[in-house]
Amino acid sequence: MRHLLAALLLLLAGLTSPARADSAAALQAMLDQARARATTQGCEAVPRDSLAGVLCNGHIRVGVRGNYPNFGIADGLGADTRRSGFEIEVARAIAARLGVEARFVTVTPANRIANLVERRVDLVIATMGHTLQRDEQVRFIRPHYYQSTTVVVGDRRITARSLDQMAGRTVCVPLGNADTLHLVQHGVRLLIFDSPQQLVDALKREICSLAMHDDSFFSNSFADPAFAARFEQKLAISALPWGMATPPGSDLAAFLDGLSAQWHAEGRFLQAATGFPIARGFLEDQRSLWSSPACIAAGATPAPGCLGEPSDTTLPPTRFAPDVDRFEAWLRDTLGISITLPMLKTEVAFEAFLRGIIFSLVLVVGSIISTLGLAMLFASALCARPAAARIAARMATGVLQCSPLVLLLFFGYMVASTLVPYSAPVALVIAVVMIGLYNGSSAAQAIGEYHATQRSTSATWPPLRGAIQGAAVQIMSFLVNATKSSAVASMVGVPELLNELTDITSFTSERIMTYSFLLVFYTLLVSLVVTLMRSLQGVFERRAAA
Amino acid sequence: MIEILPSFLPVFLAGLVVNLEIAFASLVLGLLLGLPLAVSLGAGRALAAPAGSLVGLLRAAPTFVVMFFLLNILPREIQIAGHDIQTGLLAVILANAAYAVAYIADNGLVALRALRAGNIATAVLFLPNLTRAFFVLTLASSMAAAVGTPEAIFVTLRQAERLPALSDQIMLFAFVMLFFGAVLQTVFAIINAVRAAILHRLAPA
Repeated sequence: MRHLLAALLLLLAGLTSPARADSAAALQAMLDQARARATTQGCEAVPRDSLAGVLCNGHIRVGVRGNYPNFGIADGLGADTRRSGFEIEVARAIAARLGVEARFVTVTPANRIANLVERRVDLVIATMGHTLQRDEQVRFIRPHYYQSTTVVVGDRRITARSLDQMAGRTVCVPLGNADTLHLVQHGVRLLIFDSPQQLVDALKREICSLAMHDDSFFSNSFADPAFAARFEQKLAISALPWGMATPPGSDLAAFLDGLSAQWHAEGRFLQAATGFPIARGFLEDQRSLWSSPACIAAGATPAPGCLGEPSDTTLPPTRFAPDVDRFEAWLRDTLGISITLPMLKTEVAFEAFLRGIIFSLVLVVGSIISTLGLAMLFASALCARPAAARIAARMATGVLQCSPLVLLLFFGYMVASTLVPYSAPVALVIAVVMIGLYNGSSAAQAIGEYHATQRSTSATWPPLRGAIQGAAVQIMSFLVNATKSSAVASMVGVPELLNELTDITSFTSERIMTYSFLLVFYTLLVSLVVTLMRSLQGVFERRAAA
Repeated sequence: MIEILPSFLPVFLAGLVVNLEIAFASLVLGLLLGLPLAVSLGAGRALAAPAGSLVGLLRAAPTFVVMFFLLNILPREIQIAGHDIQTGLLAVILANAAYAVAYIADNGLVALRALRAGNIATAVLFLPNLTRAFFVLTLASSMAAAVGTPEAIFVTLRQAERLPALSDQIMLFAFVMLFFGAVLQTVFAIINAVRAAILHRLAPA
């Protein structure tokens, strides 16, 4: 069997080697032409970031990550900086192929494209996903040199292994990741972190039991036996191809396209990954793919049919998004106020925003009604003639009043999950009931205490109505409290405004304006309820006086 | 369920200490800002009007929403007196402090007016009311679970997540609810007894 495999490999090598030889010759011809151009036109006349420019300079400026384990790590400062990682190896190999020195520039996800556009670097190899949106800004090299998969990693003791099973759970996510939309659509709550390293720290410190990021990022953590013993990959969400990129219009890109195809075929990318604990499945697949002669067209050009497509992470804009942009610009230019309104700019964000407002309003109204209803229910037991009913009601209200609302919500959620599957309306009903129980028990106690005072001074059993009127102020304060605490329902996945704006933040990255709006919305809502309660109180007092 | 209690209880009690710390820090901040506001509320209109607006705003702001607002606007790395402070912890302390400021300003004003009127009994009730506020803040501090602060409810939720049987999860929750119920009802009974004793001792003969 082994001999048969070896024979097949030899046969394949025989079949493919002419194509590879052609490809290598074509790449060499491109280099020779660039050198000739530099000689004939002079180094001053060729653009710095062109192939000829790089050859003239004798070095290539490569933007790389400085803090991404196994891909681009920088230790030390200045000239003493020691770099390591898969992408560093690739950059060094490219420089060696060009016969120039690799000069590294540390870039971040926030500035890597700007560095290319402003031509501060000739090439970026910095964990950059190839998307249609980025295609408009820089020139991506294809075939892609790597591919990451967004995964959810979690505690091994947690049994959830699908998006549906994640419903109602909290997943810690990095800020500005479009894949959070997949989680949100399945009723997952998000806890957002600024940096990837914070996610790993949060997992280790048990702040999070589930976290989402690229598998490439988690590879370093899984190389640690202690981490691997505690955590595992729960599910994969989506794949993102990673591309090297050059400034737009640079002829270096065409050379690198051919070189990438050739290196995949030769297993050079796989070789560069040696020594780093990163996923190699994509590299192995690409090696098989680009070993096929059909994938290399004439002149070392990769055949379009073999190339991976960029991801489309575009969110459809709202029809009034241009007006929102103009409004933001007007505020900035006229009043000097810089604000962004991401919730109004894309369809998905706007729908979430509207849903959040509607759910918040329903939640508040429902919480007020349930608080009032349950207060009356408990109060009728607390003021009942049979002592057993009063004692039982007092014990129940005592426990409910002293249980943290968060705990009550999760308790209700857990009990309900034995009866019905999770859905937003189910979460809403649970929240309404639990907020009602929490505040209603306190309001009922106030009624009960008033009734007890009346009993001590009255020869007959006082009516419940009188106790309710006597405790009206406390009842109203607990109705206000129910409104104030309604946002806590977000913890069991009710898609009210806090939850929806958190989801919007997770893929838009804008936070200050979003959360300021949230605070204003809820404060106004509470103020409205307070005003209504005061009006009601006035009506009751006038009636009592009459 | 019983078998997890020996390992769960120490973690739970450590979490409860975090709740008490949050409540204490919030109450101290509440006193520092609430008492001057109470004095302002009782002063002339020039001071009382802005102080009243501020207290009204703090009273209307939902603590849970304030916490998320602060979490998202505060810097990620905060050092106080050379110590690194977790943003989530600071956000929950400040959010609870907003409630405490309004509560202390309101109750402080009542106490101040009672003092001016010579009604010592009502004025002294400020102290048991403060104790009640401390325990309300302790309960409210459980919202810190939403931002990953390892307080008592957070560790309970984490423990429940790892229990395979739903019945065990429900029993764990019931245990924690009864624990809170028993402890806080005892504390509130003591507060009420102290209130009654104060009123009895200071009531005019």
